[in-house]
Amino acid sequence: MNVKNSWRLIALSAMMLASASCGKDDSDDPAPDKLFGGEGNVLIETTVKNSDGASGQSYLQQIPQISSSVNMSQGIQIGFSATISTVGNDVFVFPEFGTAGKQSIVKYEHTPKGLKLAGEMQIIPNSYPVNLTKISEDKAYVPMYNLGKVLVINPKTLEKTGEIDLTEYAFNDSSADPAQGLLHDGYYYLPFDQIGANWMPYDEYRQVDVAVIDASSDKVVKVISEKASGLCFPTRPFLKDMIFVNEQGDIYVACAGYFGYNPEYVKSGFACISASKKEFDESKTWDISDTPIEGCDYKPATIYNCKYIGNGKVAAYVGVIELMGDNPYTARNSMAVMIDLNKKTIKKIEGVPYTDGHSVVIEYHGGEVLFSSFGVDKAGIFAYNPATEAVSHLMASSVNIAYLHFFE
Amino acid sequence: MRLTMRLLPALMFLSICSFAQNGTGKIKGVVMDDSGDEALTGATLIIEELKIGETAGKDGDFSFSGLKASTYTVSVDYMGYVAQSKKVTVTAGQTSQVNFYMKAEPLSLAQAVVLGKSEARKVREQAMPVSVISMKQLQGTVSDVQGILAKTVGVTVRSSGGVGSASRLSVRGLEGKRIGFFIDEAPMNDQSDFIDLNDIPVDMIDRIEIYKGVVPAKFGGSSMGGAVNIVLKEYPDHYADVSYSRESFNMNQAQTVFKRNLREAGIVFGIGGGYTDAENSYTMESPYVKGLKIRRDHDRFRKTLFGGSLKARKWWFDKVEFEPAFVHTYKEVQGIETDIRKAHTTSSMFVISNKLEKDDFFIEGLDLDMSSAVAYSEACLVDTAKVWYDWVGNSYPTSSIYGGELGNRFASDSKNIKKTFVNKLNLEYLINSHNSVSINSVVTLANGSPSDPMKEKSLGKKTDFDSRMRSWVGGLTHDFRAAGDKFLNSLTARYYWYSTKTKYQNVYTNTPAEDISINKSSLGFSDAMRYRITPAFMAKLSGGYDVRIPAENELLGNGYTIIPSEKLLPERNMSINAGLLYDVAGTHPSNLQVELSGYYMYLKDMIRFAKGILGAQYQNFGEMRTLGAELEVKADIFPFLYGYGNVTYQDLRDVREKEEGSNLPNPTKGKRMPNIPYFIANAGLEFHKENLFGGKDQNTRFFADMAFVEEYLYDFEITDDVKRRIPRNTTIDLGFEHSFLYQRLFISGKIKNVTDAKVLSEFNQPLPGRSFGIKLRYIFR
Repeated sequence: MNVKNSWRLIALSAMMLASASCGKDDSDDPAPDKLFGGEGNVLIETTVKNSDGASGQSYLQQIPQISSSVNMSQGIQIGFSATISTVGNDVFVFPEFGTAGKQSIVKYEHTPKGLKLAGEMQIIPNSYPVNLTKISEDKAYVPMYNLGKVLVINPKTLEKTGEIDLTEYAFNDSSADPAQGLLHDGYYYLPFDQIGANWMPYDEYRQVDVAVIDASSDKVVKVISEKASGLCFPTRPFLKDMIFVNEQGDIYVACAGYFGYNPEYVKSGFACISASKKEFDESKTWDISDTPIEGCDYKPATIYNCKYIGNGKVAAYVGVIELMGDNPYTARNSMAVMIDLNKKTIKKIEGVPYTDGHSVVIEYHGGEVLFSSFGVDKAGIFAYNPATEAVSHLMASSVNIAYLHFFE
Repeated sequence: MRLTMRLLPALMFLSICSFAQNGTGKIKGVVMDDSGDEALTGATLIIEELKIGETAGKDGDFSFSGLKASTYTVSVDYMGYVAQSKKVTVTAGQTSQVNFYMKAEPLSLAQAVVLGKSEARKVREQAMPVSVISMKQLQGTVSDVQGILAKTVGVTVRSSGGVGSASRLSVRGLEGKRIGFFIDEAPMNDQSDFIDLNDIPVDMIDRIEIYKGVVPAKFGGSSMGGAVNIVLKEYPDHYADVSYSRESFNMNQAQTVFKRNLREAGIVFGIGGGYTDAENSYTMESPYVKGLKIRRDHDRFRKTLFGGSLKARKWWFDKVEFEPAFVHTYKEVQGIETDIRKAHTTSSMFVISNKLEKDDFFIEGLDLDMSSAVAYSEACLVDTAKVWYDWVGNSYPTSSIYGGELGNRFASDSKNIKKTFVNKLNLEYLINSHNSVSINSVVTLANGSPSDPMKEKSLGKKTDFDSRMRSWVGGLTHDFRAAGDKFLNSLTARYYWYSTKTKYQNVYTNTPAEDISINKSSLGFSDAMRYRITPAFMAKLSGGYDVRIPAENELLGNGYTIIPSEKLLPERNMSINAGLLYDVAGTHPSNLQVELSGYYMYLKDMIRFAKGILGAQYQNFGEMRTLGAELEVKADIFPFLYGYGNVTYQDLRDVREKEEGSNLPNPTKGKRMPNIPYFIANAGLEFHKENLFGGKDQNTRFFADMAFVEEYLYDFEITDDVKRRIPRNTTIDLGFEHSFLYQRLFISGKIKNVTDAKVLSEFNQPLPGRSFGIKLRYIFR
């Protein structure tokens, strides 16, 4: 080897060392006033899933309006299928399934020009805080699914101010799996999913439990149970509208049952709580699994999501056993329907494609019901007009839209 | 060879000057190995005072004549043997007799390098793309095989923690089971996992061959992205090697090898073993909680390894070899998100392997090479703690009443028994001096019997079932070698078949378990060629269409952390590799080797490891394209300074047109594949000098290695602000080795990660910072 070659080799080594020393700034701390997530008054969460459907990546961003297609370049990366809660202009982002990724709740503040990082709160790892319900200006409840407790926080400062222990109500394990709650008339109604190791209800405990909590004292007034209907799994914890109040003040709790994965047990539907009595009203509780879906030959085997739009009408995604595939996370087994709670009818909405579990958002905005759907040929946001029953494809997307919110 | 190279010009010059002289005497004798059985033909002899030389003849004989009466120093040198010198007095008119009995010296630095290089060179000049790590690179630089591989061009090794932690070997961005792992060409992980890369003590390794893209047919099996073949040393008649090393974070390791060669009986037997105990108690920064420093206190790893070997060369076969081995490991599970205090795994494995080799097997020109192995293994996970802890010390009850602190929602007390048989057969027939054909076959039988009563109780159902997998890969190869070794071509066709039987229980339902029966077959082919432009300059071109059948634990999981994926499809790879090699190792003092390679791969139904809600799983990933380039330079910059440098660029991209199972455009089309490094560079220098600090029979080596991995993303780069990333890593390791008593006693030390850089190679899995190690080794021979 001649001297020239020797120097070349040495130079190569030196270059590598030099290049290595010019490290990137790995800091995650942004400038305080930096805005993220793009401009607009519409907040969406998108998910790009892996082929197994059980893993992938999700993004939070703002868009000006629901139209044409989604550009994700401005998206803020969040945990895969992370839950979002919004209160006014505050946006709370929860950890990925509570057990992976960053163990914190991150708060952003919405501005039309972008989202501003407004705080971060460390959580107990693996506790699965899953949603936030505002109780007052300085109090919010955050159910911790895996711990069976409710974290009481100040949503302004993201400080813990208390805790409501619900572990005594757990069946056969340490957590009653508190899901999506609703504040009504000073009481916080918090359903328990009561699931086993396989994330499904215990076969020997098919009932609906709801804790009634006095929101002023943070005390559990009682836990009410509905056992007659056989309904179970009341509310999915990351979907905010599966518990709602109608014009008469009755609280309806949508129950997913076994998500249609147990063909031998498909009971699912709505458990009704009379708010005045704070007890279940069995006459209004409805197992929808025996009701044919108008417009097709199927019956529902579960409710994946729903949105009450008034007058006893509920826009929903129901699961159909005949559409189940091999993979529960990718099967397009969800059908958009309109449910009439008064008439106890279910009608298929034609024009909204069957979707998978990552696109089941339903919002009611501007007199139209907006469904996110991830169909075989079309995906994005579909608008259904309840008056005309017409459906239009408002926004195209090649990724799942997992959350949708309109800021006032 | 270095010594030979130095001597040859002197010999040539002096032999011209030598002529008959009067009043002179003569020296004659023989050069034999120390047993006296083997003549060392070609040994170089030199009379130091006269600088005249001679070469030992066919029977080891030599003679010097026309020598003036005097006392001379006769030195002898032969590759692989300890050089010797003797004083000989020559009397006028007489012949003085002197015989040399030389001791084998495979570990002598200079000669071992020559041996390593000559073998390595042969391998490197094959038509397939291959990197060879010779003994010279192996000596002393790092403590384990993974560390050595990680510095090789085109290879990455990704670890999740300290000693004994899970790690992944990747060649050209492809990893897992598609990278074949062989010891002396016997498959170790074809369908099952017999042994870990790091189970092999570096001191026992002669060289490591890393095949990339197209793997020679003789390795059979279904290696797709590449193969690693570890070639173990041949030992002298009597040999014992004892070593002990201690490293930071309370890592202690002892290893020993004994070998005995009964030359008369043609039998070599040996026994060896090792014990490793590592606490891995390094402090890491929590990736989940800002500012939280965690001292790893539940990451202990213990491994016991025993092995034996009986090799016979006179039992009709040219070589019959039996090797029993036993490996036991205990590994605690270190928490990162939570403070795991009890969960651990254990595994035990018994294996006995047999190797048969015979040239002219019944027919002249037909060579047999067959290896078989039977293994029994047990893998257990114990996760029954009833509480789990956060990093503040608060305890919480586990989700299941049966326990389980790993966050699985169920307890585990599993025992996963696996019985495996693997047979590899290679029959090569030499048609003439230019053509040969060979038939290859690899048969694997694997039966799994998992049980986990705690998981069953927690879930209320059985989810792990007995499994049976059978596979056969058959190959037919034609090799052509042109006159003068100018051109080589190797054409291979392969047939792949596998069947699996088991049951599958949907974890969500209580419906009866479903019977799974899979029976699939495929065809593949490859061609590799090499053209020698000049003796030192070669061009290589190879291409192939390979199929890799899913491995048993990819299909059926491992009984605890990996859940079944029984519908996994075989993956298919089309690849083209082109390379230029300039290699004067062994023929020029610089020993310069420069290799530039480029490649293209198109992988369909790629089998990919992904973590999901209910656990990790292997899954098919549509289509992926890779373009890559590699450059490697190695040379003796000075006689006392060896240097190497390599750069790898591998660009793996998603090329699926449509989103899986739909007609929607694929949002990640054209994006770089996530969680795979794309730019890697390594460089190193090694200084060596004999008797640097005075004395005699000592050798000193200092080395410095640097590894660089550019930042890469854990996810597809969909937005401008991707948060999950594996930061740029640069590590520098320093070390020394000093040997006494002519390479019998070694003391070595090292500092890994000198700059104490924060290093990750798996997302959110911090690796140790700066660490120190010292090793003491003695060789009896």
